[in-house]
Amino acid sequence: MGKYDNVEGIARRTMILFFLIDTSNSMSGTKIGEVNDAIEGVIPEIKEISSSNADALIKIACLTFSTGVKWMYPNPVDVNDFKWSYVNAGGMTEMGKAFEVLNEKLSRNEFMAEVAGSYAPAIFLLSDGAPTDEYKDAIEKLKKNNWFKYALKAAVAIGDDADKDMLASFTGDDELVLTAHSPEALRKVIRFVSVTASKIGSKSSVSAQTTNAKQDDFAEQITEFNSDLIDSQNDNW
Amino acid sequence: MIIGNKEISNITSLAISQIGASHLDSGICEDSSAVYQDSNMAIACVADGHGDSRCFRANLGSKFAVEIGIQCVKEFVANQPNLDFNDTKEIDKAFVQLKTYILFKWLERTKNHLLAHPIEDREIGLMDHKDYKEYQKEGIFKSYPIIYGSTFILGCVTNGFYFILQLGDGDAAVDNKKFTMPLPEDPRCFGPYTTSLCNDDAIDSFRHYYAKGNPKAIMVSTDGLGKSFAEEHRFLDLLGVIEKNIVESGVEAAKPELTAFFERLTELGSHDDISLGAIVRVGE
Amino acid sequence: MIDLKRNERIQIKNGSKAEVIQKIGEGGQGAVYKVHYAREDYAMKLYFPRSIKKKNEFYSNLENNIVNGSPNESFLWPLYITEMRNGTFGYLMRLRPAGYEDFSKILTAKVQMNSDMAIINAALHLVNAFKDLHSKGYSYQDLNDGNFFINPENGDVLICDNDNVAPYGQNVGVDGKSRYIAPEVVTGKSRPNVHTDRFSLAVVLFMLFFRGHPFEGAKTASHCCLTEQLEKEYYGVHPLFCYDPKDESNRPVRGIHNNVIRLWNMYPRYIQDAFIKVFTAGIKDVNERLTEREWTNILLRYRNSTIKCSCGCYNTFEDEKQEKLTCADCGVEINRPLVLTINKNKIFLYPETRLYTYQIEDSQDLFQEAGMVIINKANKSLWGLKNLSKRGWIVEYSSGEQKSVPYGGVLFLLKGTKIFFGNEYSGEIN
Repeated sequence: MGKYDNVEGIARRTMILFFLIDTSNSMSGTKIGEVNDAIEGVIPEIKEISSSNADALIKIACLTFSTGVKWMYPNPVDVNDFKWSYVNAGGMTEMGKAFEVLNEKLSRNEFMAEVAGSYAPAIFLLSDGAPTDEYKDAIEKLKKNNWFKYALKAAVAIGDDADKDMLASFTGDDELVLTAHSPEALRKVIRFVSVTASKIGSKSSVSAQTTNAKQDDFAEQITEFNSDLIDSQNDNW
Repeated sequence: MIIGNKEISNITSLAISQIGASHLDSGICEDSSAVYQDSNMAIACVADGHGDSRCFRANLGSKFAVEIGIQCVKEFVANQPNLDFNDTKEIDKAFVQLKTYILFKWLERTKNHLLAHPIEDREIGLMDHKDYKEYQKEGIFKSYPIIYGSTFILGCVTNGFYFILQLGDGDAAVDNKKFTMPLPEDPRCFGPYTTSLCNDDAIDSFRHYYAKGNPKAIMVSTDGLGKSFAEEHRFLDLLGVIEKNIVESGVEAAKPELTAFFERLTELGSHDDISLGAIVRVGE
Repeated sequence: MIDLKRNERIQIKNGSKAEVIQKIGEGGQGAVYKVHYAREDYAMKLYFPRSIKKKNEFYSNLENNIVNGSPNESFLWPLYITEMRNGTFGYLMRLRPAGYEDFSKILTAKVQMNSDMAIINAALHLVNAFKDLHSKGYSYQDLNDGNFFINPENGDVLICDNDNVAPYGQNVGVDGKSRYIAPEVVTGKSRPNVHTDRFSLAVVLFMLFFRGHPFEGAKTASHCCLTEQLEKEYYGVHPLFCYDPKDESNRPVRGIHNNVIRLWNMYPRYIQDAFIKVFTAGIKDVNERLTEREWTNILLRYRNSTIKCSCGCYNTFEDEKQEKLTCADCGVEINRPLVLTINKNKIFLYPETRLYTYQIEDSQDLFQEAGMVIINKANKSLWGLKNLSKRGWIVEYSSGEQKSVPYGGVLFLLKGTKIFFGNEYSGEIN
């Protein structure tokens, strides 16, 4: 009706999918090439989920870390408008700094400004090694952040040198740390985690008690996927 | 001073529940809303049944919640002994008792419903395994309220005094020159999570607010409305527009216009069920 | 009544003048000010002129209390009385020290007790305070959640508003708060006295342990408003204990009385039975209400059998027959440790368990520590009992070997060990 035509500010509920990507020296060459390829390849699928599933608008935020950290874009971008910008590798692995910066942005004054309508974010960490800076305090701070607490989290250890225990301290569960020993595996993992997180994260099922039903569901699916993955891997790196 | 013993005048009220875009497939709206008005009081109440799969009778839970809310508050206003407005301890005590009573009645109603309508085969798979075992053994289970889980928000206006009750997410706004939300945010209602009538510590999350005065309007809504707006002031602006439309065209005309708008809004915004209960002063 | 201003001076009876610094609070009966008197700061309570019905009686009672002194260190006792002035008067008392919180804040969980041990100690302090008060011939008459404070760290208690304290049989016109006062006072059949004190004490202990009211449950929840008449009915005429074994109609309701539901089952049978006795038989028969001595024995038994899991959570063994328990917090299983029996005391010996002076000598002090169970640094599975008392002990192991354990010394905890505490007290570990 005409009376409500001028209502402004209507917005879809949003879910942010965070990618935290290790772009240190050891990632250079085929590894970073595969990461670029895999993530760029998964964007169209996430677009589909966002438009068909439709309870939430999915936005993407990507942070790369090597010597220093860098956000690909200053704010999370609607997946429909998102263009993957190819990243290069080189430098140290300042994961601790990445955690600090993530903690800052997981706040109402920053990326989570649309608090009322926001779903819990999904956070995806990809690394092939171990942090070269102090990270334990940063993880403790993150754990106190409500957005982080309720987020769906997963980590991918790329190759054998990745510090899986450390990645498990980030996800809070070692079942949420997947290992990719080959490019195909990496592509599969990135695809599976992004798609599953987007589907679960944007469902409008509300928990009656403050339980982690979504996180449990996510963990279950990831674990199942992981056992299939392990069976099919061969060591290429 | 006895509340509700003086007549209120020029008050009108409406209640709307619109099914959410995400529920069109199932056809079940989990929200409920209702209003009540007589010469001494006006009450608006909304409730949002949870979408969680364990809350498979939530649409009934929210229906019972608004029926009971209105019934209990009617009783409260009609029977309230002299409330000394200077004695905030006494008033708070009275509200704690009211909230206790509402919870008690809702728990009783849902329990009786479950006893009269046993769990059906198609519902078993949605239950917690431990709960089902207990149900099989005892015919009831301790956490039975969860299947009816719902939020609850109620606003009431009497002559010179008004109050709000809220448990869970959703919004309650009062227009005293402009719309504001007097109840502070509940930190336990965070992101997609909410407290509920079915929690085992529900009384602790049940909040109330009261004040002297004759506001121009009180509006209570489920989170499907508020979450269709990224910024709070846009949401409050909308309430202002709704109030204006009700004052100008009257409830009879305003209701279908608003319903049609909510149908579009859920599609463009939250995708969730949307409910609004409004009490508006028309003319003076 | 107009508030006193800064620097205003009030005449103290038989003394000089107290100078007002600032107002620090107000209650139903009067206002409290911080004042300076005889080179120290005090709190001064000044009554509203209309709030005291029998002024002269009240004034002399207050004077008597001042002269007789405080029965116990838990009371914030009146120290000096003012002259009558403008139809009213007041008294000076110590200022409340930092660290104490209103009991009502603890009830509503705005403040948490630091641990279960702090709760037990708070209960012991309260009971002890009443024992000392009654042994001096007084009754308190108006115990409720507004007039005492607890230190949530260690359970120390401070009882205020002692102006209503009066000798047994006498009454200075106080009725008491209905949810705390005994049924016979609510119905008007009796005025407050020692027996009604014991009832209020039981209510306060119940609230301290279970954070809810003993007479609140399904029945009280089923009313829209608790009118004066209904209150009289539920707290006076027909009070029904929420865990009355014979009548379930007032059971605590899930969703509403969740604290009581959760906490009732965490306490041993003998504590539950004590409350059941007071709140069923003890409603009509004042002799069925536990005396302070009876409460003390129960609480000491409870404290003796409470141990601290390594995760920090306190857990209690029901008795020696219980072979193990599961920690309420971390879920780890703990086997029944060795128990030291000294006369009637059965002390469960687990790291950080204390030995108290009253257990090993003739003393009324329930809080002074005389020993502690510690872990051997070299071998964590070996525990010892450290002597922190004033006397040297002799320990006799089951082999017959004897050793002396001076202050600071440690004896190994082994089954069959006897300990002689340097006087007529001795104990055995099993």
